[in-house]
Amino acid sequence: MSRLTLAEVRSGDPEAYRSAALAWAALAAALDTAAEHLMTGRARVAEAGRGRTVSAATDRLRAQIGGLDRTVRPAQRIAEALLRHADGLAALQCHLDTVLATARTYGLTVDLARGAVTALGPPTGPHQSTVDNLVTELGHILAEARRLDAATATAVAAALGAARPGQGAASVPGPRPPSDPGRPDRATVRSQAGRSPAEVAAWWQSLSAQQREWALRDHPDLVGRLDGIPAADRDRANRAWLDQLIAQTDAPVALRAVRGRLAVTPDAYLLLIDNSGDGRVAVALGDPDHAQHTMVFVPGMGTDLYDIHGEVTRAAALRRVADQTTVVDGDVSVVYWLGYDPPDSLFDAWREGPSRDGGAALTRFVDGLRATHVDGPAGAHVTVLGYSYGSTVVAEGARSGGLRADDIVVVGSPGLHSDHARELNLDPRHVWVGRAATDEIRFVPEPIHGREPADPGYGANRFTTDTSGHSGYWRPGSASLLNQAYIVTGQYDRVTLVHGERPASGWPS
Amino acid sequence: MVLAVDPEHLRHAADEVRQAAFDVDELLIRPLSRLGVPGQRTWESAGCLQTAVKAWGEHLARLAADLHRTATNLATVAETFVDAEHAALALVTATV
Repeated sequence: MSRLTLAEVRSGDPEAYRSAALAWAALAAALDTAAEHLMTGRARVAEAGRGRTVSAATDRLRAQIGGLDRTVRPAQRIAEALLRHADGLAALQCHLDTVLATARTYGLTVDLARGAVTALGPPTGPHQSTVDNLVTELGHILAEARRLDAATATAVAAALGAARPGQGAASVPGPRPPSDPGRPDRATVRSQAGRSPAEVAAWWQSLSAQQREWALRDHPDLVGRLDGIPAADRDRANRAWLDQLIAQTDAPVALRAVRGRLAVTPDAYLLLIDNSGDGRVAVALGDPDHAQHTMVFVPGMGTDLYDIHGEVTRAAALRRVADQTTVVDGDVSVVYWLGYDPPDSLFDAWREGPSRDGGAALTRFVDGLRATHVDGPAGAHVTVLGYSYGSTVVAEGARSGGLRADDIVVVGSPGLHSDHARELNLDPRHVWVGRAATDEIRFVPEPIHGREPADPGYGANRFTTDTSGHSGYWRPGSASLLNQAYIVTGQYDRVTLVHGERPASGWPS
Repeated sequence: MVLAVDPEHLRHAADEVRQAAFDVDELLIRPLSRLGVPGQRTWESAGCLQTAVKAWGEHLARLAADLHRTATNLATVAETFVDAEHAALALVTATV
């Protein structure tokens, strides 16, 4: 049992605990990265061929991945416990300072080593009650500090666990294997990333409610980024992970912006959060698993986590207008998807690497939306909208033949890496182009990203826009916005066209 | 026994495992004391943490060594397959 005194509570150093917490969080992250390398290594071995050597090597690496994975969560737990300790200690010191100030006001002195309060003069009736109150307060503070200390010590000891002898270097100073049978371990959850979103969805459904709860609680960072997990569960995991990132990282400003935006956005689902590199985030407005119409908005060059406020506002405007055009209230979900690393400058925007990588990630994300929809993979009308450089991401996903979109909309596009809309593997009547007459993107030379998609020869439908410049397509009350809303909700006959041919009706799921 | 192995994949696997070992090495380069809370001797939690730091330090050292060993073994296995192929080829060309 802790034998702390009030003097030690007062001289305690919350920053030392906070600093140690950050170091443990960094340790956990580094171990996680090492485990990722081992996963890749194991995949390479599996690709190497067949035979007992390959099998033995795969088994060996599987054991090492398991050993490494078992260290990640304990390190995170120690970090969390130390952060709680730092915050708790700082609050107690604040409380203690208030009590000491009150004592001084009444001319009382406090012996912090013994927790005693003494009056300079003879105690009188009301004076004595003040002394009693202060002693009680000090007792509470000390008890709370001892409880905090014991709780932190217990958490650290639990995370340390017992080393399991006889397993060589693979044994870890992490916790004993969970006594709960069927509790998903980190390696199991991590391995889902290599499976298709449909397989991930099937795995998630195969878990009991308790197992899903364990996975969400133990591995929010892994569950939150898995395409194929239902939106409500992803949201829970990602919000928990976002809180942890904000508590642990050195540069949380952009992450705080994300959390701040979520706090003022009703009906929002955080489908992705990642602070590595420039950061990745996906926020759905409206539950995409229940919506009849879902639109995925892919932003363009220079976008990062700091832009969350403006981008979500834009998505909200589109959702509001689209929803107003349908009979059923709330049957539209708009997802702001920054699941790729957009180029930072015009020079970088010439490169196709980000669009290729982004296209693959987008394809997987859309597959995930289909896999988790309550009415099955064809249950929702899915539109993917690419803005500016984001349209090249959409194009790359579509050109690969894997992007399962019912409609593709591009606005302010510099080109779609193709000469004709049919190269996007979709009926060209479901490819829509919005281009304001004064959009500066028209100055991008054709050879960079392909043929001008707004030209009639490209074969897409060009819808009417009445906005100006490169970023005005979502101006409230504009035809530009309304036309996008009609496409998103499959009301093709209401879209006004500059050229092209509307599809008959419905969507080609 | 079916045997079909591409040594190049094993080399790549060895590189990945080596990188994992370097990740752990990196943790050991920085002083482990940063994981503790110096100057808080009277706190039970600080004492517990000190024990944890010591255990983790020993574990990380073992882990790094184990990963380096695995990486080396994988690379050696890759070269062994290449050597075996060369030796077999030499035998075949010498006897045919």
